Amino acid sequence: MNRTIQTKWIALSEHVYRALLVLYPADYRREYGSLMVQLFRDVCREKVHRHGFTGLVYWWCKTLFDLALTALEQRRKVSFVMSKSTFVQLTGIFLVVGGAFSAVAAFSQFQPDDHYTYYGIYQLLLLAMVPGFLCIGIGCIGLGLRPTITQTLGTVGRWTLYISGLAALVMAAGIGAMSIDNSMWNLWMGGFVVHIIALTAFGLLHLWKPVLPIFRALPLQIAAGLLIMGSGVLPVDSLTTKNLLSFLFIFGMGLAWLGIGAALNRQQRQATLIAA
Amino acid sequence: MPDTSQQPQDLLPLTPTVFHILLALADGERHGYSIMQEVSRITDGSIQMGPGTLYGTIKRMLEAGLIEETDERPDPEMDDERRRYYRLTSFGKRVAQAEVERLVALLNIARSKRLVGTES
Repeated sequence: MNRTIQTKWIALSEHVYRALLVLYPADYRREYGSLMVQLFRDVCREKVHRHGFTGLVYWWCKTLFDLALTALEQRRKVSFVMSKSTFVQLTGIFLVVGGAFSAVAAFSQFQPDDHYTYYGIYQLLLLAMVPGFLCIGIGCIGLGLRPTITQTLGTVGRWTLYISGLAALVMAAGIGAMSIDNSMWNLWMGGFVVHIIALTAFGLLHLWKPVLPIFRALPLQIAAGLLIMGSGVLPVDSLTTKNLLSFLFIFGMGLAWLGIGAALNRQQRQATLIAA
Repeated sequence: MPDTSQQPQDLLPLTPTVFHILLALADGERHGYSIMQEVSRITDGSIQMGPGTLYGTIKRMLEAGLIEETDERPDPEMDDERRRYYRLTSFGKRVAQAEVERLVALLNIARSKRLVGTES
């Protein structure tokens, strides 16, 4: 191969490789694109100089294989980071929605006559707990994913939120299933106990090292929850007392999550404004 | 942002690519092409990284605080300003040493089991 043809092939290869870099994420391309093209060109020159056209073909085969693998790897990394950060950013909204649904669902507790089987408008109100606890569960998991939680409260703090989130999802499933089979009340109750215990642990850790806005209200809700659980176990005869305690707990917890979610959203907006 | 609380042992065992880049940078700063040539030289040509592998690994190593970019040019007159040079950080050096110690310990075990230096 004469020198002019060699230069031509190298220039063409460089153009094609530069075009192929579109396969990488934009940020990565901006940071390393020109360096990769420069490296590719250097090796092209070396291969052509040493082995002629065969060397160039060999280098192209190697580069295409490398490009396919690494472009995929960089894309996967970006999409994971994006989805995780978007999920964390949506935590506040999930908690607001979850809190609002729970607060509305609390009115189901005023059903007269029976505290365990719901019907009519009270059943409809109770079903509002399904999206309520679903959103609270997702919100708790989102809170656990926030780097500030791990930095301040460590892995234990993060896992108390994950467990309470998962338990809230079980509660949502239990409430939903109760409309078909009343014995599913056990599923809801199991989720409720785990949710409250995990939140109590988080609340205690949070009292020691506060990290979330207005979260100090939650230990009060937890205390109320324990009271409700107590009322289920201890012989509280008055249905009206049971109803009122249940209402206060669910309504209060809904409002607490709503407040925390709104405060997180406000924090997020301020952070976005500062960043802009 | 590198995690300053990390210990060298936390990153072990290193991938062959990371270890070879650390070895290539052990005797001074180099740019991408020079790193690639050095890795190829020390492995008798058995490892030749593509541009994506090299810069993907460099990115991860920068994030982990194993290497850093440097503005110094070994020979400014001979060099292209667009090239970026990289050098080991002190943490990177400690990680490389820890990996070498790990490999030496493995080699000693292999020796004690007569897996090294014997012809079958």
